[in-house]
Amino acid sequence: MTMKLNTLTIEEAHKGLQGKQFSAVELAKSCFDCIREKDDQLNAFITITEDKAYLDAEKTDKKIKDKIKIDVLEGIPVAVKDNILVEGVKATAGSKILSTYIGTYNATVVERLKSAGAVILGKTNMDEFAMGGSGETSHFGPTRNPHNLEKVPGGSSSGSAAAVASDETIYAIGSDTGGSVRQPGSLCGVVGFKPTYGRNSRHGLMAMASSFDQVGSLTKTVRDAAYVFEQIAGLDKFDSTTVDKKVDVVNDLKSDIKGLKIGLPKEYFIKGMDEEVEATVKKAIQKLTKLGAEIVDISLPQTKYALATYYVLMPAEVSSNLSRYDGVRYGYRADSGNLLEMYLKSRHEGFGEEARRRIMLGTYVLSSGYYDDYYKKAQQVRRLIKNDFDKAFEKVDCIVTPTSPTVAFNIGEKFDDPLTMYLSDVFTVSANVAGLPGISIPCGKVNKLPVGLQFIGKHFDEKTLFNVAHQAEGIL
Amino acid sequence: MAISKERIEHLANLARLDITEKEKEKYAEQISSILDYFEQLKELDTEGVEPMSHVFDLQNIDREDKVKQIWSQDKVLAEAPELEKRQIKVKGVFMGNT
Repeated sequence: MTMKLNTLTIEEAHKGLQGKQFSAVELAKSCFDCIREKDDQLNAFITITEDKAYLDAEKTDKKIKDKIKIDVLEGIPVAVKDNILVEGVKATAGSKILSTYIGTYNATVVERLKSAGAVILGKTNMDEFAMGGSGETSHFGPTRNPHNLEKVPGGSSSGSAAAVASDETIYAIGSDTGGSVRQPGSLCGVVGFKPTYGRNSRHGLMAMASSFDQVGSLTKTVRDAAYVFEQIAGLDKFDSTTVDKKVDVVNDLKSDIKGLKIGLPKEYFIKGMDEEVEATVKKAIQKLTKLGAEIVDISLPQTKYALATYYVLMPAEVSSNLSRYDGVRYGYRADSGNLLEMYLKSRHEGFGEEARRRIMLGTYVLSSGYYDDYYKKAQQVRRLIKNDFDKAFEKVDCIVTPTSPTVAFNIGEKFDDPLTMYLSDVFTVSANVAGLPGISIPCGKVNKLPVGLQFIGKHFDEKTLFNVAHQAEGIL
Repeated sequence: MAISKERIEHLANLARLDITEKEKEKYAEQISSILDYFEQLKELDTEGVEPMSHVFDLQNIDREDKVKQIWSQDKVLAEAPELEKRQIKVKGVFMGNT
């Protein structure tokens, strides 16, 4: 058949496999052909696992041949962000310090994808240890935006977003600590979803800031994100922060949203936001009323403090989590004369600039004499931010905002100005600070570059979030 | 808030990072401007607000303290930069000049 199989959604590919229109091996091959054609330019992948992928795809094909019913994700190609472990496959997290590290076990989310018959294509490029909003901090070079190769794809799940947007894969897995799935989803024009904190296991996800980190997905449609979420979410004995709550989102996608109250926080339309992006987002929000939803003006007064709060707490957790990379048990070890020198050199040579900057910043806010001023203060503001959301959700069913203040920016444009780079996260961090689920869907273009619309839901109410996002997707 | 070079050196030592003279200046400048950005948090009255370290009120989850092999030791040891008799080897603490 002449149709390009790699351009299909999960849903379409599943139907095609079931209907024997093509095989799982052909489906995987179309993705690898696309990767061979495009990835020299895009640099979305760090590692390709082609041989293993075909072996897995053959298993699905055998089941289909034997007339055994297959699950929706069975035989479907997926790309995995390189900070998530796949047993026997290199896992670098975009860092020199782990450039030769091989995953010794499967992350729980990978285990669940594999048990559903997923075909893993490889590991995607990312900002080093998920620290960055542009994909540029990777030791393996920047990923480029498929819509315009001079632009960044967003980050930190830069490779996962670019791979989905360029049809190198059917879908991808990423991680979201401050917007790292939703922001690149927005900049690449795909769907980026992060669940409520505690929904997806973090076991096998390299820790960046543990009280914010969640595994999320990048997909071509909201429905596809719902399929992936239902498969990977749930209680895990290896992550004691996971919760035992039912996940049931696919069934409700088609429900109408008449009378649903969608909150529009006035604090999310700020000075410095790109005017055309703002207009595009507002137009999209206006369209939601056509679905019978009611747009309610709300206020989240503490919003302007969210970014500062996040950038105090996150580096603090980073400085602690990254202390394990010391050249002793795994990863890069520098030549040295004694133990202290080994630590100093291995960490200096192994970490990139942004990682080192955040380690220093985190060490500062946690250090004696400054702890109360910064760390404790930010923890208190974190509670105020969460209280804002709790109060807002008494009045509305979900919240709608822009995902990013701008479309994709030029490679190199913000690289030497960390504070400006941090502002890319301004609309996404609050969901992580409060542990709320969020989803970004494409809602138009400015200068031929995608603009994202973000919905934020109540804790554990992904059902409403997916329903609204799916309905919105249909009219945008 | 201006942050001194000595302070940067102290932090680098605490974080076990061997940074160059040039980086000391660069980080001093960048971290100062980021700390200035944090100053806005001081506008907020947080008197009596319980610090939030986690999204939900979690309970400790205990398990029985039983020895159980989960992962292959060979795979884990294969990642170590230097091994001797299946033990991870590092440089001596007092070797060379410190």
